[in-house]
Amino acid sequence: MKNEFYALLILVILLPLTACNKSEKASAINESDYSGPPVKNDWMISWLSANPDTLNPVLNTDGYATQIFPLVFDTLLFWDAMTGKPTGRLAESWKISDSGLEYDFFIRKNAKFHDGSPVTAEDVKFSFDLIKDPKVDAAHIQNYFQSLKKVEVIGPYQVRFYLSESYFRHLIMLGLYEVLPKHIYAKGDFNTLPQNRAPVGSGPYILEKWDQGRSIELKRNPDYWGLSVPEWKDSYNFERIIFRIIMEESVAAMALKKGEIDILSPNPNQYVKDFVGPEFESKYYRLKYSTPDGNGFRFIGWNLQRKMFQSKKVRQALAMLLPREEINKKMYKELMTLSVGPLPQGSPKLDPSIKPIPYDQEAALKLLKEEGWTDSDGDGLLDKAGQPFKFEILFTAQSDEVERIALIYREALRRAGIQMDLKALEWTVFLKDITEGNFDTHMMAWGSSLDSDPYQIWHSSQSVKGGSNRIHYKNERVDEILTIARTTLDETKRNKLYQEFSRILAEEAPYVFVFERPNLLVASKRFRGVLPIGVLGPDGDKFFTPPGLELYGKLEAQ
Amino acid sequence: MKAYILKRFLLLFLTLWGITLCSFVMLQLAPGSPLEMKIQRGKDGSLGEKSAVSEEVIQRLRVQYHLDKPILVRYGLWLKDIARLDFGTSFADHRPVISKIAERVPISLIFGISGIIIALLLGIPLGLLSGAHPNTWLDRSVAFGSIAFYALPSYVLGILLLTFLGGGEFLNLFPIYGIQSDAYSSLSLVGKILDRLHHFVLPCICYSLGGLAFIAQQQRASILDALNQDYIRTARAKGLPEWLVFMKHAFRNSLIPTVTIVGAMLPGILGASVIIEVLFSIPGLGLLSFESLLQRDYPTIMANFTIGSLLSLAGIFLSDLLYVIVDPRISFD
Amino acid sequence: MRFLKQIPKLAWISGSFVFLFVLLTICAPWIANNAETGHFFPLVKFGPETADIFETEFLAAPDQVHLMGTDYVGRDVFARLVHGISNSLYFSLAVVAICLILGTIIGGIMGFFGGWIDLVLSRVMEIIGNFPIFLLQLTLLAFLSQGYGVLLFVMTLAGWIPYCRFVRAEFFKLRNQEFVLAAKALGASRTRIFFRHLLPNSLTPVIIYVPFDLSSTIISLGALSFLGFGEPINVASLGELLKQAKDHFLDAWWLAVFPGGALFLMTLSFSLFGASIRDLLDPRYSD
Repeated sequence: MKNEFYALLILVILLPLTACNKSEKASAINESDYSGPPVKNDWMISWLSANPDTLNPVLNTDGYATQIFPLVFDTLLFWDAMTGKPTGRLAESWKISDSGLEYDFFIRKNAKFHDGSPVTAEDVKFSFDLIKDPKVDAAHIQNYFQSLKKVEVIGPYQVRFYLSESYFRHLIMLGLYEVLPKHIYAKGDFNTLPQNRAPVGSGPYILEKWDQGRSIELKRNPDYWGLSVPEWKDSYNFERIIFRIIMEESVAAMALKKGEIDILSPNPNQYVKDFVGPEFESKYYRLKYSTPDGNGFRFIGWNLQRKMFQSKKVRQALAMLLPREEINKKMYKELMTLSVGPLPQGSPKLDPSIKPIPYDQEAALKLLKEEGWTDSDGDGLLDKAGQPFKFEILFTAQSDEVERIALIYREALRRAGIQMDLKALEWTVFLKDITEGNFDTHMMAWGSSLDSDPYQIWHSSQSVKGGSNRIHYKNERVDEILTIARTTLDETKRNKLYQEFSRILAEEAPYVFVFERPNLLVASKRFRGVLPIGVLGPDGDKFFTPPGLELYGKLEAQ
Repeated sequence: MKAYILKRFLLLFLTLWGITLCSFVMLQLAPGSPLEMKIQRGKDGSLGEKSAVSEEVIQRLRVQYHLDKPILVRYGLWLKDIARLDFGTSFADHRPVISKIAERVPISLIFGISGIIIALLLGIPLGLLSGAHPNTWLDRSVAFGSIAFYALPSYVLGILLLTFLGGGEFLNLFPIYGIQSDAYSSLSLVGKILDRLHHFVLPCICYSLGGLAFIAQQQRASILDALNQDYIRTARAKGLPEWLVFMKHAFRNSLIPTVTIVGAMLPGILGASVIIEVLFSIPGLGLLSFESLLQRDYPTIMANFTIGSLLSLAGIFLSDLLYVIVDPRISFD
Repeated sequence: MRFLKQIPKLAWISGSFVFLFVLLTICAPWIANNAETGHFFPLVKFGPETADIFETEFLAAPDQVHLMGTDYVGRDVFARLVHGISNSLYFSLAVVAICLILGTIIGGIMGFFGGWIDLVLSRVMEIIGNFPIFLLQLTLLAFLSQGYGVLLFVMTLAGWIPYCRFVRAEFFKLRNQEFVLAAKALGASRTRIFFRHLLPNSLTPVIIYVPFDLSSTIISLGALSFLGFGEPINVASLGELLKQAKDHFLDAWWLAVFPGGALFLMTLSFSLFGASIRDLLDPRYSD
């Protein structure tokens, strides 16, 4: 005990000192100071906000492991961050039949898994067949791949996919699916394979260690087959990529500032609160960038089966009553973009003439009056036919941001004479209530994906139980547009259709589109290759550390 | 004696059985299904493209997770597994629950036990000191202090420690999360120990405070009690020096109740740890139970309930047993 | 007056703090409120649940307008603190009262009848008492929807057990004492013996326990809110402020210091008051 005490005492004195040394070094960086060949032995330390459930891409349902998959596994294609165009990864080339129902991929002959065995058409077929295997716990993607009829091995390095319908997202779905080595993953019960915790792929990194709940450490694959491809020669410059698992955001922010994390995608709150100031910016890149499909959006969705929300004017008025500008100013320091629809402003699928709805209590009250909502009994609440204007909003309990927006909206509505009660629920209970239509209104966010398809949220056929059209939105023209757009492979024509769709949504206001979620990145300035930002964002594969700035490789040499 | 222990043991199992049955039924009757959670959960509250689910898929999952059978049948299955120490497979990550728990237990145990040890090492001397000088300022401040510590919730203390020592607008002395830093694996042995200790300080303060107050109070009461006994008077009468009387007779006897209390404190290791582990992101049993709750990971939640109540029962059992062993005057025959 | 002299200083001090907190609890609407009433009361013109979202800054440090700063949606921390104290005291009192009544009745029944009734209820008590109770509370609150009803249920679930133990033990002790036996011999009815003879004489440990229980109820209520499972959202509570402090501890010390201090002062006062009462009522504890 005594020794422990002295050790502690020494510690208290020493630790702040060592911390100082580190930070001084980092602050001396100037972006143009260094050039030359990248150092190959530095590490990059990143952040995960939760321990992933599994590192098996077929079984995975959470968003955390998805950061690790592209490093450990290869997909047939990838979308080049700089150009935003599909490029071959495992596939050297590909071919789509005129009918749009058959896709052929030709696999690179030198592609190898981590254990040295070649990647073949059999592996690709095996990986896709898993989706339909009833013993595999992949319900979440089964639905998604319903149009995939059959996968056929044409030759050892050629594979053909048969699809039941023509759909513009098929290339993305097939191209971005991880390929697993058959000879490893076909043994035993797929759901409980040891490889679910120690993945084997063909990617540039190999899992070195997964310290449950603390970190996931990847080590560069020295024999990565892709290094022989000329365009990728300068990629994968880090000896190790480590993901630190920290559940508390504020703690992660602190860790970044202390230099214990090099790179993270912050949430907007952190970005404006924790990662500011000249000192910070001298050490870190602070990037906000836009991508064609954005990063998803937050919304308040009215249950259109409730009578009070069936009027378009009422919905428009309710949208006017959300003081988004004020929230943006005070919570986000103007970081956010006011959303005008399901896609970010500037997206070619969005009509550029649509303007965000400003906060306007007077105009809202006027609209409500036209619909018969006035305070006739003088109790401070609007009413119509004896019914007070009163409803309940559901949201999930675990997010600070949602809670704040709900509280502010409640206050703004209160001023207009509308009572909104708040109900924060646990995820499962929340999902149960909204899928069963057991709500007045709810606040949630939709994530986005490459070239996203609004069909499943807005088509009236999707308002059944389990579908994503939970507000029961129905508009015949919208249904028509969404159906045609799916099979329209020509992008310009498709965008035209979607522009019309976006105009209808803006007019009908079935959601209050709150904010677009910006793409944000904070990264240590010891990295280069972060700028310029490509169409789809910075290209993480190309990041590197110039000589003299590496922090970690040296540690190991000692 | 043996018969008594046997009887207690049987009762213990009866109670444990009751607790598991109650928790099992409670979990199964809870609204909402872990399956939907599993399929539809997205990152930070958003839902993705792949989130739509057909009834057919749900039904298949229900069969896969045995959720289609009646509750009592499932409870029977669970009991059968538990007899082989098999807590099932986690809904969240398909790992055996027992191994998830096994990797968390040492961490919680280290914090819990060192919390108790620190509480003992500080609490006993404090209690003795104040008991030796009853009704002085020293005694009063120890009494006041122990009530104050006892009344101080661990989360209030934790938040204040983080605010003032965790590197906000005040001092930046201690790490604020986890049990080791990044470069841990590259540190020397001494460095590793120091690193662990550094991470250890703040949570450990939170862990030991309540116990410290409790033990100090207990020790004070028992030393006063011991000093009033006849044998002390006898010892004094035969002319033993006061310190010898105190140390040899009073002190030793006064330890008995304190030792039994330690047994009763054991179950607290799990209960108290949820808040502290969440606050400091310590990957122990408490954090696991909190996470499994949010993930609706029923097998893990069940395991946590079972272990928690087992610990609590064992604590009572142990403190009874210790009482008998430490104090030969007590017997249950 | 002689009696008063015997009350030690600590009892006076802690007692007056308890009194202050009770006063604060009752007067909360006159201390902080946004309703437009007289020009002196309320003392602070901010309500706990409303914010001037267009005027105030969010997470603003304490100044002359907002004595304890503002919270994450611009609500006045002082107003929320006062109402938080008030809410948690009212609620904890309700919890303690229910536990006390429930525990006393059940303990009385067990002690009075003994036999198999006692045996069965003892099992029930043991099952509930050995549940990892905090975990159970969290589970129930997570899976059922938010609201005072559920919270009350969850908090009283195991809270009655200590009272039950006290009363049961006292009943067992008193059952065979002469005055009870005498009453029985005189032909007093069971009800009369229960209520007139046994119950009043077994309440001392119960009363001694109340301030401690109140203090620990306040603590566990705060703990639940701290993890986000406490009072309904928007209701002012100390735990909720501390939860905000957890998310903002790098930049909003006032969210940690004031609510934390208030909570500590409150539990401390009740505990000290309880200790003083105990020393007065139960000579075993004082030396």
